[in-house]
Amino acid sequence: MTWTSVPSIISALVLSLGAFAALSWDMQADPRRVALAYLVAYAFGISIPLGVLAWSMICDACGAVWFVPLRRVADGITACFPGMALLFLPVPLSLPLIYPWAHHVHGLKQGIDASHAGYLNPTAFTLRAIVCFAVWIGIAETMRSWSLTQERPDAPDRTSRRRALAAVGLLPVVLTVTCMAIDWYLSLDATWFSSVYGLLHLAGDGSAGIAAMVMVFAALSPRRGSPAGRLPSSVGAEHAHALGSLLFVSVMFWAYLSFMQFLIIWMADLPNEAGWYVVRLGGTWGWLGLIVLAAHFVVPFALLLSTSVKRRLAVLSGVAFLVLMAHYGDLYWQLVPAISPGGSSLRWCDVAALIAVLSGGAACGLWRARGLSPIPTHDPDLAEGLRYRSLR
Amino acid sequence: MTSSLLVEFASEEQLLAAALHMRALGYGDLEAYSPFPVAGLDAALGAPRSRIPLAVLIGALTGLAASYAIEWGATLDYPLRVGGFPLYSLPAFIPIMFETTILAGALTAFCAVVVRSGLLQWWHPLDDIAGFERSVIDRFFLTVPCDDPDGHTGMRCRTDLAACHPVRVVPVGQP
Repeated sequence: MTWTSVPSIISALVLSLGAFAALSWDMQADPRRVALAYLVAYAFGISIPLGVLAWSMICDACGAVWFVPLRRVADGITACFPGMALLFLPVPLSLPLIYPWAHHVHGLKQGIDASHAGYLNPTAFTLRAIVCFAVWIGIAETMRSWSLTQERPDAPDRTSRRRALAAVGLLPVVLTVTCMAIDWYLSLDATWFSSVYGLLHLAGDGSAGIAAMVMVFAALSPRRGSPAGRLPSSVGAEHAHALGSLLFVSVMFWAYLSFMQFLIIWMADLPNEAGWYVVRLGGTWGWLGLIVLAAHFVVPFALLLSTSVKRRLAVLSGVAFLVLMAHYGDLYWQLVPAISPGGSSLRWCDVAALIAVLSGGAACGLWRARGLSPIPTHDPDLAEGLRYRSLR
Repeated sequence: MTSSLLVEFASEEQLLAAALHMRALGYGDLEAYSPFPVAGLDAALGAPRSRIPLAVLIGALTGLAASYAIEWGATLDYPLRVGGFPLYSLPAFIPIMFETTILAGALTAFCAVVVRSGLLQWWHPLDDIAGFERSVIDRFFLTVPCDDPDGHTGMRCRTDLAACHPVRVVPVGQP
């Protein structure tokens, strides 16, 4: 019983390395744009394990038994964190290229005074990133290892410990995600600020994480002639319904926070705040913003109102794919205008960066899922989780 | 003459199993009472799909449209320029539209449930049965209509129910 095979791991790794080679070639032409393309792709890549980690902790803290059959899927995605930490390395190395506060040459340090410099400097940035990764990897690995110890038939029950860690760990996860959002994304515009920005990012991460879980669930769901390594047929419409409801909640939460941030800034209409939106709501950026609004909220919201969409895994994974695309579009819309205020088309380096990050992260996840069963076979709550029926 | 039997169970699993069992034997129009929603009970009772979600959707959309019309109408009738914004400022309308959508949807849901569950009746035959109040505390009840031409209060029905491990079986008075 395995999820993965050696050829798939190797091909993911080769794909990632090839994309990195293409990026380093493109780096000679337009280093700023390539560095930013990598940041956007990385923001998208890291949002998936972060969203899954947050949802998996919420489900554990609530004692949601329906989540138990999907726990290995969630742990499989959060197992990508060490690989994602490695893939983060190009970001601190390219700080002066894209962050105005790290830029000393071209006099772009406008609006940055001594009080900013104490927080926004390369050393502090790197130290904070290390703390963030330490928290995420520490929590994800501890929870995963407690779940994996239960694979041994005589192992002690770790459910209550997992639950306690999930409840206690949620606060550090929210704080580190806020720190990440401010450092990595918001500081591209060193004079702009928004107090909800970190939580807004977490909402986007939550949508992406659940969408990714739906797609992995669909990929692992049993088919005719069911080969080994797939989920049992008792994990089906009921669990899809529950995941679909979480996706529904996620897109609404994202839309709510996005709109509230916009509304408050739009009403106050102060130059240093509204400028961020003036750039992003004009011209081609405005059109991208509307597309993101439609694909990240309006269409998924309307579709997910229906019970039958949530219960059909094939349809639900289509909605999930749309949300994932929209999440990438959202990050692109937020980050790229920082260096191309007039508009920017999708470039080859964006695609290459996306392939580099996603297949690199996937290689780590596939490697670590070797030899594992797709469900936590010996989890004491598994039987109850498989019997789960959602209320209609 | 149609009479029905009230059956009391100690757990939701027994209620669910009994509903499935009785339906398999051909009994229709089953009704269940439980202190909390039991997953899968609607399907076990053979209840048709609830139309309440549709009513809530219509109510919510009505609330949305109504507040939009009020806000836009008020802007046209009493043009008041605030903070240099255009008169037609959609973002400022949205919080109210959102709130009225939720309010109208929630009120529709509340009223639909009250009406459809028969909560407006002052009295129901089940109210006369001592111990039925535990249906909102810790017991699970099923009513089974038993057509009984002989006048004996559902002997066959009682025999069929005995297989479901009920706490007790009580005949329900005529309304």
